[in-house]
Amino acid sequence: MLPDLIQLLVGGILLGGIYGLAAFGLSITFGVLNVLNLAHGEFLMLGALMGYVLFTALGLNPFISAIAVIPIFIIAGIGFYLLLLKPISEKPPHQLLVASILITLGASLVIEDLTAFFWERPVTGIAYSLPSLDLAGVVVSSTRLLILLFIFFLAFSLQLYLKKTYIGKSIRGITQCLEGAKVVGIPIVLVSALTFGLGVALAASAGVFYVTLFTVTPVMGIPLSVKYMCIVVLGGLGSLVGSVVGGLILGVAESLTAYYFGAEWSPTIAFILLILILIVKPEGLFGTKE
Amino acid sequence: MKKRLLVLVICLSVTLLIGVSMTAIGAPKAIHIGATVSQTGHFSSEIGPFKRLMNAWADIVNEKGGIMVKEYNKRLPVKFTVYDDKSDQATAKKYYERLVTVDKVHLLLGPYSSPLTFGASTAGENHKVPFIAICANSPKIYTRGFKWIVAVIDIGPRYTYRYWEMIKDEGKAKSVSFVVEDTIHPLGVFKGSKKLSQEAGLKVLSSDVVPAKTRDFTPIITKLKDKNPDIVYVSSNIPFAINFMKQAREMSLNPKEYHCIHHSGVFRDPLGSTAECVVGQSYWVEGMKLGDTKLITDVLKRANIREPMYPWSPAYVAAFQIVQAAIEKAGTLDNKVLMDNLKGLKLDTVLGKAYFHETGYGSINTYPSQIQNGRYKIIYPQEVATGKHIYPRSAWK
Amino acid sequence: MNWIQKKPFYFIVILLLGVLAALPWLAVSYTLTLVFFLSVYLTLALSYDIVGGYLGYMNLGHSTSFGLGAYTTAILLNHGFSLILALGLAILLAAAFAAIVSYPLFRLRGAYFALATFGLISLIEVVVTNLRDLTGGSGGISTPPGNNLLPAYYLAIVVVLGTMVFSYYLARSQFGLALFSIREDEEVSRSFGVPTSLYKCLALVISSVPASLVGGVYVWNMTYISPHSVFGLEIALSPIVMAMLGGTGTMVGPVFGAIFITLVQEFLWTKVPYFHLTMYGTVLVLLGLFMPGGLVRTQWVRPLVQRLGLGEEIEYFKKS
Repeated sequence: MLPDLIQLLVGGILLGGIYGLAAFGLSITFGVLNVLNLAHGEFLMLGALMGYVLFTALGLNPFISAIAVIPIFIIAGIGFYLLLLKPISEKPPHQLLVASILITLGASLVIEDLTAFFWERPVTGIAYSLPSLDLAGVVVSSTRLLILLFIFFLAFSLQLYLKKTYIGKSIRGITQCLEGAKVVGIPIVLVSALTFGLGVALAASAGVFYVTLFTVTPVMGIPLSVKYMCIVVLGGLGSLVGSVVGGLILGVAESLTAYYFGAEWSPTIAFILLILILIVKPEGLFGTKE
Repeated sequence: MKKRLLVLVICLSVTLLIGVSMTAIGAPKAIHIGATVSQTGHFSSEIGPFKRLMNAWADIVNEKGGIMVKEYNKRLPVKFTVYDDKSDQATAKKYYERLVTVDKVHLLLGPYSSPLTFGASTAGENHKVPFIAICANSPKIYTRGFKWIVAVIDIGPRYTYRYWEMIKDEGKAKSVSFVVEDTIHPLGVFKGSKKLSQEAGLKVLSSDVVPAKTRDFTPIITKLKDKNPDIVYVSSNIPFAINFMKQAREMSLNPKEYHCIHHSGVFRDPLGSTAECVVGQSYWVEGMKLGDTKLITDVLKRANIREPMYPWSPAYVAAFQIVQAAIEKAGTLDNKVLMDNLKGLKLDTVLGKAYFHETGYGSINTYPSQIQNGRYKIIYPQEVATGKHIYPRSAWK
Repeated sequence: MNWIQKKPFYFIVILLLGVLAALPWLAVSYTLTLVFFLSVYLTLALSYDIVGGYLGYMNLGHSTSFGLGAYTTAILLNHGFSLILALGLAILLAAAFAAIVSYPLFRLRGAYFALATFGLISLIEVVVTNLRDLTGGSGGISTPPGNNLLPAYYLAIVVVLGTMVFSYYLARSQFGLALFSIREDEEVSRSFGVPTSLYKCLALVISSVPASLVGGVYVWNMTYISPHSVFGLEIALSPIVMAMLGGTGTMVGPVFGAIFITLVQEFLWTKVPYFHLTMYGTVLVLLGLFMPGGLVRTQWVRPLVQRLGLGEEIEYFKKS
């Protein structure tokens, strides 16, 4: 039974890496801008489709595509922010929540509908795979392992970026105290737009890996957005490490639940975990009290 | 002044509401067929563009002058009114009511999936309009005692009966494990297949019913590696099957055969060589010796829909043929006569012989087909086969 | 506001009620179905707003009560219970569930609460699907067949009108005032002696009653439901969008929102062959950008509503 357990743990961690990567971008936008972004999954889906195009048309390796899509989607994200989210950014919290739901939901529906109409394939995936590693009877998927390493690298470099660079510190400043940030002279709009663009670009990057490992349909966006928001809340708003760890915990929990309790109960574990952690620590695992 | 304005506005809105639901009633200038298509929502990946399919067939028929209706002693053109049901039951039910009471169609074609058809078919039943279900094979639809429904296809549990006949004939496979997506159609197919496999003499080693949204199959595949069945039978919709197969390959699960009930081009493309030798079910494959398939290719080409991407399209074409044959046989558009003729119809369609059972479900069923060198070959029965069954499959390293 | 000034209001109300009562003779079954679903969604929007608008906690998981009500009614109807009894028990179950679940959930605030309640829907959907012997699982559940459109229509009208009247009096009651105070500032409210935890729980329980009731009526009319149809995104989000669009925190807000969205959707879906979802999404975006307080707070509709005496709660919206 032990080899099975190890296999499950490994599988769970690898799955969690994918969750973490996708939730990562959301942690930035949700944490900084306090916007309930239902359109996050749409950008993941669009990134996935772009990854598909790059793979089939140019033969581009997904790991390269994952980086290639980042600049494109930073610009797209900045545009999205300036057009749709900046106008409501100054509103009081309750109105902000309402408005952000309406706007991001509407935007999601538009993106979904247009994509479904213009993109011919109802289900998209790419036939890319690396041979698996067999470590003493435990099969490890190389693709997922690389993704896990990629996201650790990304998390690490982003943490550095936030701590050391001016823009990074500006972002943290806005998160911690908006008024103070204004007083100090941080260009709020610019930094917020850039942050959103970054978050969206990370979603697109995750999308490229998503289409490599799984399949993508034009309508998958909204349920994914909700799931990743739960992971971000679980990990703690404003904590990048938290969303990665949250993703890993979720991956392992789902894996173990599926094996020991039956696969039909594994979707429940996400929610149960969320509730348990929020009851014990309402700020999330790594979140800080406001 | 403002109060009177308000009264006026409210009265206008009420009349508008009632008015929106009325249209002019005219003499039959055309054979009016009503349907909903899931243009949006999660079923859009199955039949999203099928409005084009219906209009394409209508164009082809109308170019030949239309369908002959003896009662008026002339050919009448075919006209479709199609709404988007958002893959939602309530919306489907609402629009079928509209099709019958406002658009006053002569016939109804069903929506995609059994859940939507449950509600949609009530419109036909309550208003006594013939309802032809297409992609709805849950047996429970046909046990309600409805008199105004027929279905093109056979019920779900019998979906893969020909595959099990073949397995029984060959006598080589001894055990099977089922991986089932927890959705109404795959579940129904599984229940029937489990029995059929046992009748074919196989031992069922395990059956796992797994939530539809599952994307990680590591636990299940780990279990299957321990059990080591001859056949791994994946009863599911395509995204589920694709993810399963990818991970099965990563983990080197090597049964003697994989069966994935839905394995169209949408399944094959993202898998590449992983899809090789996978057996599945097809209504129709290009090149098979079954009836006149020219109609299928003409309609698909006209509608710009590729069958490997939308494998339900041949079933719709068969439905169109059934509609046409029923009208020609009945010689009239009168509801009762049309329905009686539908029920008694025996037709050679593009997918084989169509007839309807007492409670309404149809006879058209799928054939086992295997992906060989990236192409689909029907492998059983002999009369329609386009290739031979490769068993066991070549194992992955 | 004496009744002579309200005469045109009463006249309109009686006219509308008359039209609704006589609709089966004035229009076809499609119109009845349309008004039926409008009533269902409006009931959900109104009952959502008790917690989402009056109390200020965005309960995105409101459709959980709807689904529980629908499934309980379906199961009981299949076991031979009468409709009234089935509906009554369904309400009790949903209310009990709301009471139990309110304790962990109300420890959260704002977006956290919204997300957690949204997750609750998926949880219940999975549980219902897994209890397949009881609920029929993913295959759904059928109730005894029959054409119940006419009585279901009247029942739905009664339920929605009842919910409107109830919501109106709730907003003007002491309890309603307490809810508003919790919304504005929970700590201050508690320090004034309002039993916040109890009232929050009560609000959730109260909001679950119309939702579960209308869920039962829904399944009685549809004669079939599946987990996806009652726990899916459409039924979860649409009533909430209607409430927000019309004007959250008021009684008339959801009414405006529901009617507006139903008419717009119906128009788009029947007259526009493609891109209707895109247009609908665009409408939502525009409304979010320019009118997040809802239709009833815009300069055109607000005076109208206030003249009718229905606009007291409009002013209460958080200004901080």
